[in-house]
Amino acid sequence: MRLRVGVIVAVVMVLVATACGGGTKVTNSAPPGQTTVPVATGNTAPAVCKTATLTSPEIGVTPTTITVTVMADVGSSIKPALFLGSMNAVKAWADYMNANGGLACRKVVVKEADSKLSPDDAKNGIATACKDSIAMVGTTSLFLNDVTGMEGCKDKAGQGTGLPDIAELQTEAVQQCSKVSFATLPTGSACPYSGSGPRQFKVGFTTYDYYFTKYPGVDLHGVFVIPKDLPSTIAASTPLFRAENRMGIKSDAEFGKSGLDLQTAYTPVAQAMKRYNSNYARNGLDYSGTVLMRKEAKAQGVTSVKIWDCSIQCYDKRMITEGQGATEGQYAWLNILPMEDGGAANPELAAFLQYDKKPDGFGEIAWVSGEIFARAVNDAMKAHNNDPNAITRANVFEAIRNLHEFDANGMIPKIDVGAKQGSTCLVGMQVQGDKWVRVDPTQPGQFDCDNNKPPLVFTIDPVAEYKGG
Amino acid sequence: MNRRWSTLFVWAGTIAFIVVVSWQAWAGNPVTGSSLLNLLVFSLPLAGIYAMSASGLVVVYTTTGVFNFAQGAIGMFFAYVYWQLVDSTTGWGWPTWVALPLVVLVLAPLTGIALDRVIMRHLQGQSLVVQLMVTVGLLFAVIGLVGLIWDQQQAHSLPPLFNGQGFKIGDVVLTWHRFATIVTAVALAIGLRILLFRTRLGIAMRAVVDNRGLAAMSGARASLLSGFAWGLGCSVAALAGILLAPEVDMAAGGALTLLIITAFAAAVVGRLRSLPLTYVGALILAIAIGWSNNFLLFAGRWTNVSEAFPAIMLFIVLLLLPRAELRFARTHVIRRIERVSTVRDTLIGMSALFVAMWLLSRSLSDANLSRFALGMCTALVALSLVPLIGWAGQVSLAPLAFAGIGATAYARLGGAHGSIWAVLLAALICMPIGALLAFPAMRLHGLYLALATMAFASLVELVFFAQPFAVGEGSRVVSHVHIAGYNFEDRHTFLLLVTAVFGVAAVAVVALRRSAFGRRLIALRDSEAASATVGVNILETKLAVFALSAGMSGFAGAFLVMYYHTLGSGSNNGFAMLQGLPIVLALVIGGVACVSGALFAGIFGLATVLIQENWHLNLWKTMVFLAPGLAALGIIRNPAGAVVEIGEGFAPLLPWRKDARREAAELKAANAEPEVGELGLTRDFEESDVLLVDRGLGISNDVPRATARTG
Repeated sequence: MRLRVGVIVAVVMVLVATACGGGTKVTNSAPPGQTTVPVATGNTAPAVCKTATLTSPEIGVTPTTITVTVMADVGSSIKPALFLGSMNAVKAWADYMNANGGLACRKVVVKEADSKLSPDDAKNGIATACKDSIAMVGTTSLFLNDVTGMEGCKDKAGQGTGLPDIAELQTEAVQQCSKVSFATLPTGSACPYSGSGPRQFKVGFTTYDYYFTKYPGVDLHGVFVIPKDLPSTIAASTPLFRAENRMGIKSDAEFGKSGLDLQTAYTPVAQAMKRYNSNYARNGLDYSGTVLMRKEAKAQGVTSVKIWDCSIQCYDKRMITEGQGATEGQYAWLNILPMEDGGAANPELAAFLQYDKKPDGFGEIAWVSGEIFARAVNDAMKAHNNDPNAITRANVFEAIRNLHEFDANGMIPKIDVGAKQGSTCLVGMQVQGDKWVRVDPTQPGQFDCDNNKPPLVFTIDPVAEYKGG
Repeated sequence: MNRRWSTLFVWAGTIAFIVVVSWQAWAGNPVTGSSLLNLLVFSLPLAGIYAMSASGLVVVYTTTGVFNFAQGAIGMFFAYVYWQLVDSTTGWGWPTWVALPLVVLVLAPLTGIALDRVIMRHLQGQSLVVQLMVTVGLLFAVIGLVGLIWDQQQAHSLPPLFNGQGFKIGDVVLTWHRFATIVTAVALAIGLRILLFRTRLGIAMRAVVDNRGLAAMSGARASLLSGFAWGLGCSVAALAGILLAPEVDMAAGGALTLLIITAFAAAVVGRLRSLPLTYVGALILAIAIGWSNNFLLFAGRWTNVSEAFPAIMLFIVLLLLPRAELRFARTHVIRRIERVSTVRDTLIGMSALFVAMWLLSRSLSDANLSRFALGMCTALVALSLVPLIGWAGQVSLAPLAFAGIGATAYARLGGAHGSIWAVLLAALICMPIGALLAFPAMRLHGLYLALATMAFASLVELVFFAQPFAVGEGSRVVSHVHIAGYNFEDRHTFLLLVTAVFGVAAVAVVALRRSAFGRRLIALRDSEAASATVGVNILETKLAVFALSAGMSGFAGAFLVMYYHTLGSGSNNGFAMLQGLPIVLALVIGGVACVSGALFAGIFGLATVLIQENWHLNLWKTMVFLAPGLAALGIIRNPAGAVVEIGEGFAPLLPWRKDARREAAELKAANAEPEVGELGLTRDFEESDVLLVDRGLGISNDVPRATARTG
């Protein structure tokens, strides 16, 4: 199978993390050492659990358990263990919940569905989850291009309520715009969208204001690499590049590259950097594409680039180890707290690092998905007189749609889950030596929200913007 | 059209293609001496990389006669082994001067010998499709094995030689590592050329491939040479893997493994035998890609054209190859032709299948209903290959290409509303396209034909779907077919519909097999020369079977896209070239010449998923990874197919199958006879062996289980 998996991950994360978002303004997150109102964190069994007679109000909810499904691409022989971190994190989150009194007076049970980088397996995972889980949490399936099973899923009463999906990644427009799917880190792409033609995008200024402040008076211009493997990868990456152009970073040259390209394919890219004396470079592929570009640039003697820009997909320890010294100075912008902050900076991060034995960036977002679900369940209970038997899909949907401020106790900036609006707040990381170092803001536990500057809003046809290369 | 004109036509077409593409996609960069020098310097390392990859392929093919799809995967495996040895952080930190010779000169050859002993030796005399699919199975198994041994969440990367330093030619820096790759590639070419053509060992190896029996009679130790050849092939693969690893993402199923498919085009330029010409092919390919990267811009419907360059080049080179001659000289022993089911038996069997599916579907979950439906759609695709590969012996590696075209036709011509006419049109539209593919089949035989179909599948994947008249930029949503006012939207009825459609198609296929046309196809498979001699119109027959198979595949594609509900233009749309290979593999495992083999192909993937889901044991997860490799072993033991073997095992137990009992007795008697060995080279050649050889060659009248054929 001709899969360019990393590319797809990369472009989605680009939109998710590189300040694509906006809409409702969000305030800065909690100051260090202090968390926002605890929701699921430290959840203890409410008093009602001691007196209530628990029933089975919904599929996936029994008197003793509440079952969720985490679906992720793990078992593909093409890319083994791709999102194993997401599965592990949701299970770790369940352990954390159960160690703190469970959820809705019940033990959280996690079922795994392996979508194996296949639309069929994704569809089958949804069908199974529809029959045995109340919701899907931490969904990380790159080829989920059919949400009919999710939207038409019937509840215990036989109503086509739908299956709540709190997704970690939403690659396809149908999932992004589905009424039953909610992103843990929403993109700034407008819905509804047919899949082709013009679309409105929102991109925050945080990253670029940091660069313009750090390099005052420098006319930033550079080389952009667009992942061209699939129409969806092109469509997901061009809006960001066009936003950068609009914000003042001129485009010297643009190249389309594949996730299967060799390092030598980046020779013309490096040549262009030298020819135009570029001081900015950005690769929309996954971390390994950026590693190849950096290695080739080093081999070709590129010295002019001051800013090697990237989003959360580059926040990977393999960027450093596989880069073998060539990735020094690489930026990566996150909309989660970096693991380097450590547990002391944030209690939620502390819990994640304590319960997830093999933590990674994808796992951290999947953990937040779990926390959104927990918050929705708790809110559903609260909305029904703290009734633990009010946990139905319909009530969970209602709670999620009304969830307009959520920050996982400061682990992410505040987002509007119900309105599917992300945040422009980010954390800037940079490779320095053999580790990732926080550069903006430098204080652990905090995000740079760029003084809540409203995002850039623009409309383009994302595929038509690709001019080839 | 004679050869001269057809060659001229292909050349003219190629030049016109290059001019038109360059004109249409011209980026506007000036063509200067400096830019052309840069292009050359850019292309040389790429050529070295392709040449290294293709070398292993050519060496293995030249010395074993097997076209090894797993060559890249084997190289990737040894790159990981080398990484384990030399990496100083999580590996063992051994010095390069110890690790490199150990991997390339010891571990790789030993692995090659083991591969030969366990798998490859048994491929001698097997059909081409069996040989190819065994290596495809090995490819998947090696990817799975690497994923099991080395945690894919961890970093694995090899540093370039000489710390990435290099020297400048024009504006481009040529790193010493790349220079070393080019030099190694050239040295390898010279060394291998000398080995294969100037030494007794090389000549003996090639002789064994040309005619194993004759070579053995001349004193060649075929089995020993075969082991040496695979050892050599693995060494070359390991060297290529280690040299290429610093240039790519080392992910198990990534570029390092799949680069070999790009290298096919270069290897075919050398007709899989000439290393110097292979290097010329690698250089042409690299320059074409370099030209594209430096001077052309592809966007919109042509976005992936540059990635299709290897497939385009492969197709062109295959068209330029001289027309394959009819072969008369070889006589080799094959198993008797499989028993042909009757239409009545098939009708009963398919009715039983439908009833069983109906009963089963009542207890299946929604997810499993979907899986079974996909299994039946896959079986329908596999069924389209039975007449083409199983009967006519025309190996096609493009089952999903025609299915994709059929799916597109369905989506465009009424699939959005579930029109039954759109299903039929999908089949009809694919038939002339399939017939067009038969024209290369008239020129090409065996492996070249298989590669041509593979190139065609790549072009469909990378170019066809992106065309506005096909899918274009977005995607197309389709509905399940409506028949007599009934839609089959729910999973249960759709499964039963696809099962019924498969049953009807299977009965029709069996009826076809028993017809004069079916017998003509078998005759074509056994010997084109003999068929032509007795009056079979080869052109007409090939055209018909390609059209038939394409039509069936397009028909199946319509159902497949109904299952998917959506047809996208990207290579994740379910119709990618590489996704078709497991279908052919599963069909070969099941039995490529029978309809039950197609059914097996449908449920093969389904079974592993169900086992994995229902028994949450790590062992099963392991088995799922390695299943293709085990299946490859299974093909060797049962080349006729698992279903055929199972059928032959059970048939004597049926009271009405006297013929099966008689055949079983004859088979038992034949198997009781001793092996000849290597014509007395490994043990004494006794008088009884003479009789056995006579039987094998068809000299004796007493041939209980084998018939002779020419071809």
